[in-house]
Amino acid sequence: MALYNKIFSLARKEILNLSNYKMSNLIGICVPTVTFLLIAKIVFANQGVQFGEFRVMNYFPFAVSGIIISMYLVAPISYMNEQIKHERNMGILETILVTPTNLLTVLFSIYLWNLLLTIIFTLPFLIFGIFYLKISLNLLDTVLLITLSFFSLAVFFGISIIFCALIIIFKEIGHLGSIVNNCFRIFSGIYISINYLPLWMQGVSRWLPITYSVRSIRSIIFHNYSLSSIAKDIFILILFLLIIMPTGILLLNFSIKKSKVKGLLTYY
Amino acid sequence: MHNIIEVTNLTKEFRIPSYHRHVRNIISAIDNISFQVNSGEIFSFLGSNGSGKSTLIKMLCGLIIPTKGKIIIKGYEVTHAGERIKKYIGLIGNDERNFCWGISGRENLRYFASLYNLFSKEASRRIEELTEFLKMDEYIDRRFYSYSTGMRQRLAIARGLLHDPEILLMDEPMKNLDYESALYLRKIIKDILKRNKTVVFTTIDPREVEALGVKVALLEKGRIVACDLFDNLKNKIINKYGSL
Repeated sequence: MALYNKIFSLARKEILNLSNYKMSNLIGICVPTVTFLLIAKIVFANQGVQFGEFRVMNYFPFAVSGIIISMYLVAPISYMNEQIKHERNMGILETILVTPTNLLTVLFSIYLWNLLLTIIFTLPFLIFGIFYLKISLNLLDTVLLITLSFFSLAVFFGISIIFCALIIIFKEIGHLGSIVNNCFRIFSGIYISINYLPLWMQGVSRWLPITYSVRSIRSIIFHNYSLSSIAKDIFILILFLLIIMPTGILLLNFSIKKSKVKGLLTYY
Repeated sequence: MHNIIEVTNLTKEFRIPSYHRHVRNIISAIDNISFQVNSGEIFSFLGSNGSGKSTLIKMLCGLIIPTKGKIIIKGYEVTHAGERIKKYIGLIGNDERNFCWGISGRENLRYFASLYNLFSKEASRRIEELTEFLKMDEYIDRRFYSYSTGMRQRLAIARGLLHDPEILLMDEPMKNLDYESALYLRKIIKDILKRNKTVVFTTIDPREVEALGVKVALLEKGRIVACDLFDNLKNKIINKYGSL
């Protein structure tokens, strides 16, 4: 109940805050959508691509699905980094640490909010994707999709916690955040099927959780999956979760303690 | 009256980054200080810039961990008490920026109320009460960015009082305030005291301590050089700061 109250309060605060920037948000939604549609139509139309054992006849659906999936996973991390950096620099983070609320609870609320924000901002993509790709899911597909999304988002929440811990210690991790996000996009087969990547890149992609999320979710959307392959990917995502989440929590606790010992939050 | 805050041999050292690797710049922000604050009392720290006032307040609320020494609040040692003591403490920092600027004062308070585990109805009631107490009716629903320094300071006090804490820690609450606002804030501090709270505040201005007529500790380079009622230290303060 208390967690719900905190999530609701944060969402309310953020919605009210967003209402100050109506025009910017409208542009934020429209410009990338229009740009993406134009580029995709001009460059990618009518190019076939090998996707696992299957051949997707058109590159466009392949890229659209990859971009949409990666948005839900990567974008909340970027938004969250910006928000934590802002709250740290304004001294709000310090004020939050004085309250009886655990910082992890605050981060969870911020992550959920940013996920919702990503959904709102990418809604045009999503609607377009559903109609263009003619996505139709049966009950099993839906259950698998929800399970995969849950574990993928949990892993990415863990990554967000790691970033937040680094922001608390170093103030600014802008370049590191961009590098990691771009690595996720390049190595995970969002734009180009992993099969077409050089061997060393394929090696790297095996160590990225997003590879398994994108591969499985995409295979469900294109109805070319086997239950064993999805189960294997879910198992790998759980393994990532078991490593990343405790690492994130330990690192967050360490960063809070270090900031209290060194007085890091005192210097904005 | 009993001791609600007990500080023993408190020291805080910071390592300041240097361009020369062989130079170890360690400064003592707080240097071996001890003091007690009684329940229901107003206790002030008077010192110039860089004397360690803010560091001390942040150590009292657990935002900075001491290098040596103990802080005991309500019987709990602050460094190890974790979340248990947070309900007893309200912090009013000296940085007036730490609110969400795009929303109203009321919405800011509502958000922080949730962090203090106050649910919607209770939070609304408390915000109404504080709005009335701090006379913020006129602007509580205005967006924070339109607030003057005095208004922001009052909102910071309201945030510090949201969860009705027993102890209020104020770090230079009258910083940047004009004479009239400072006067009003002094009245508010006196009113807070009537509500059976303990107030610890820091200041660079001896007139504030005189006006509140409280127990004062003179802080110099992280050390308490004198600690007594203002009247007993008046001559010493005049010698240091000139006429009041």
